Parts: sequence; structure tokens; C-alpha cells
Amino acid sequence: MSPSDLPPDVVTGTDGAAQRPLDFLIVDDSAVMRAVISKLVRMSGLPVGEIHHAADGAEALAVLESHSVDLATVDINMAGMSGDELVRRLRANPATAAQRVLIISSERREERTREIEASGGGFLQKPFDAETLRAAVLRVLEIPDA
Amino acid sequence: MPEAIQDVLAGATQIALETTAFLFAEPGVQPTDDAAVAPPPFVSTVEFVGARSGALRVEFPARLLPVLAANVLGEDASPNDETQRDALGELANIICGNVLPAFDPGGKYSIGPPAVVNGAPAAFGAGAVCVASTELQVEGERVGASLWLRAPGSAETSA
Repeated sequence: MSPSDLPPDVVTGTDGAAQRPLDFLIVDDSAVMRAVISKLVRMSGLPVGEIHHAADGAEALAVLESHSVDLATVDINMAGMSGDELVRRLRANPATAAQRVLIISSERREERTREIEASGGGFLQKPFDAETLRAAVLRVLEIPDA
Repeated sequence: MPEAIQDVLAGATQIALETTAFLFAEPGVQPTDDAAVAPPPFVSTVEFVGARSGALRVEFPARLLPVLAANVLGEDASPNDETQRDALGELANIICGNVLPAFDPGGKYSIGPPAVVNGAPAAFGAGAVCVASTELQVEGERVGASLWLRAPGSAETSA
């Protein structure tokens, strides 16, 4: 996946910053973590459009059937469909194969992180602040920071 | 008790409290006059399996739980009970995820969902050993965290 895969208005600003609001899908089985990530997204200084929520992988797939988002943040350990399974299903479906994904987990595994990054995703270990989240989002979306 | 793991546990607990809830923790606990009459703490336990199996347990003062949840969410109002428990569960999950790689850098683990109770949780099985524990003071209250490992072949816990 390259920057040319992204909608042009996301990356073509002369100052290098995102030019239109970014839409997010936050997938986490903890309502508190969904609220925290939403809060940090809004505190990050990124242009934010819609923020959708899903409590597990199945709910996330349902949201993505009807909404297009720039980035999905995905928890790994979830009851029901796990984050790993969700990413596998996204990649297997041509309609969602290019979906940008940021994995958020409390546990960091180097091997797993390399796999995620090789497939065009990103990894963020909890806990994190708004600045760290912003950097991770921009990295996954391949948008230079302003 | 391995001092390095003790330090990792204390550091992970401090960072998790500070980063997620803007609560600043000091090592050690000062005795207080009302400690004997304080309500029982909430206890969050996350179990893990993998290279080793065991659990991480966080004891959190009942009086401070609304503050934890409100700070985590960035809200002024006190969140409801379920949200307060969810916030404490996430805290334990975060601490556990940060402690395990330091304990066993190459190990693969699966961390289960947190279980939160008010008061004494179920005892771990006889094969479980506490390998690290820490006590911190947060806004004058005691916060404890402990890491338990289960001996291979020992009974599952029922936390």
C-alpha cells in the first residue's frame, strides 16, 4: 500500500498536514478504552470527522459495510471475534483489504509487531498519550506531520 | 523475590496510573488514622497463559475508584459503577501487558479479560506463587499490585 492509495485530499496539502477530517473506527471490547481512545483522538490535534465504535470484530465488520473510515484502531484481545481475526477478514475481503489499521494492545510482541507493520498496519502499546497516538496515526496513514 | 521484576511491576503501575488517569503514585504507603475503617478495596485480576501462566492483581481503594474512572475518561462527573470497574480492569490489563515482556522477553502470552471484585477475591490455587508485589501511595490511599505465577501442572485459579 502506498500514499497513492489514499484519497488525494488526505495527503496533498502543501504544508504536509491532513487536509480534511479523518474518520475513525475504534474497536475495543472495553467501553472505557473506546472512550479513552476517542478522547485522545480528539486531543491529538488531528482533523477529526466521524468516530465510530465497535465492541468486537463482528460489530466492526458491520460498521465497515456501511461506513468508510480512514483508520480503524483495533484491540487484540476481545471477546467474540478477536482483533487478529478481524484483521485477517479485512485483508481477505477485496473491499476492505486496503483498510488502514492501527493495532492497540497492552502487550507488545516484536515478532507480531513486525508482521502488522509489514501488512501496512501499525502497532501502539498501551498506555499512550495523545501525542503518541497522533504520531502512530500519521505513520499508518503515511501523512507527514505538519 | 526478584528485585528486577519488582521494579518493573512498580514502574509499570506508576506509568499506567499517570498516563491513563493522571494519578501520581509514590512508592511505599504511609499509615493513616482511618485505614482500619476504610471500605474494602476493589481488586482487579487478569489471568494470562502462554510461556508461563499466572495472574496480575491490582488492589485499588474504593474511595479513589470514582476518581480513577473520571480521570481516565476525562470527565468531571463520577462515572457509573460499571464504568468504574471497567476502568480498573483496563488498568490491570495495561500493567500486565507491560510487565510480562520484561519478565520473559521472548515469551508469548494471551491475557484474559479482567475480573473486578469489591473485597477479597478468591484465593489462588496452591500452586500459584507471588513473584513480585508493590505498594504505592496515590492521593493518600494504598494501591497494590502483585504478579503471580502458577507452577506447571497446578490447578487453575478461580479469581
